[in-house]
Amino acid sequence: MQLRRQLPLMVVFVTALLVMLFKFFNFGETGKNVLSQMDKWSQVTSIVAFLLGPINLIRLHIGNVAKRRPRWIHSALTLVVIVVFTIVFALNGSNGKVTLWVVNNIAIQISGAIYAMLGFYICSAAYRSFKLKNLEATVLLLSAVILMLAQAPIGEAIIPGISKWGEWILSVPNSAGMRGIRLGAAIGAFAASIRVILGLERSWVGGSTAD
Amino acid sequence: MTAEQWGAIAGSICIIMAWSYLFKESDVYYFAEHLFVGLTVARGLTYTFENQLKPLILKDIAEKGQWSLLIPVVIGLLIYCWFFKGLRWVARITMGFWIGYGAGYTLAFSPPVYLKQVFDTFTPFIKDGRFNFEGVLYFLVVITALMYFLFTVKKESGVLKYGSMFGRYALMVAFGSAYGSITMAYLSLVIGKLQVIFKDALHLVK
Repeated sequence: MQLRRQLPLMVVFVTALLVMLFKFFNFGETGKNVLSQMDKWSQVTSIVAFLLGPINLIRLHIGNVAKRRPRWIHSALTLVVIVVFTIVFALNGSNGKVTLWVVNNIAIQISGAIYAMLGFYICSAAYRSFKLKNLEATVLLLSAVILMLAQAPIGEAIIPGISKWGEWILSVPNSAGMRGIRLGAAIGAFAASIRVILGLERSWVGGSTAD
Repeated sequence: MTAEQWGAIAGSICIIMAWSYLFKESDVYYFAEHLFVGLTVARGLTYTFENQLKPLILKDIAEKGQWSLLIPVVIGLLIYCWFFKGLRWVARITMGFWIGYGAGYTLAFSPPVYLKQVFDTFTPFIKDGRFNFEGVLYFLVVITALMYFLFTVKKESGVLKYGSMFGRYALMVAFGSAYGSITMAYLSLVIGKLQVIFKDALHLVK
């Protein structure tokens, strides 16, 4: 029982230690080779594990169909599409004419349309939330309006030179603010990495997180 | 009609099916959604097999004789133990390898990237004989944004209070501009999809 929890934590520690050891200390060509080999190993493990997601998805949809859960007919459709098109794509090749026609004209169009739908929601959210409640909200609204006008042809027609303002906002306050956030996130990532390596963060092995 | 024209018609139908969600949740939308999921899985399976797994086995291992790659192959295969109740802990060895590699990589390779950003933030106050307003503002915004996200100390008075207040306004400008840019990006996506319907399929726009 103890080994079941300790072994994955030991794997984490040893793997992380090897990466840091060969990066921080100069082992010459050997060090470079080990690092590139570890990179390759990481890729290979991911490639071999590629069936994990599809198996989970297929299991879920088979369960939906077998138990006649709500909208089970759509689950059946997903299963049929997976089986039929895996055969079609396999026979046609991943860059074959039929494969590319289906991917470009059906899959990419649906994914693009669903993603673009956020455009409608973002406009509706802006209408509901952009109110001049306080100074912070006013600054947010002004900045967003200037940026939108700066990037649309009509903006330059209404306020000549607004595209320059937009460029300035993007290159100075926006870039600096985002850098501050990125640096904060990086410090958080370093702290989280150290916790994981030292085994203080072990919720992923089914244990509680140590303080 | 050419395959391209059929493609534009099929694409337009798919876009309308997906956008039907804006009107109401319906079977038409769910049809499009599940069709997309199925196609993506089928594409992912065949693409990974053909372009990654096959070259790995046939080229790297069998042809080049890199037999040491069988070790990560075995480590990767252990993840499938997740599907067997009593062996779930074995799958965590693969996860441990990924997490360890990711954590080690973050600590070993990220500092140069972020440290360069830290160094670049410190710009001289006077540049080419003139006061460097943009450089100073950039520095102030980065520092005060970090101050705003500092939660471990009390910010009731002094530099920290006013610094974090300035940081809050600076972040509002940054978020507002990011929001504006994203809105424009989404609108251009919407326009792109409308072009597929009205230009490529219906030929109503030239």
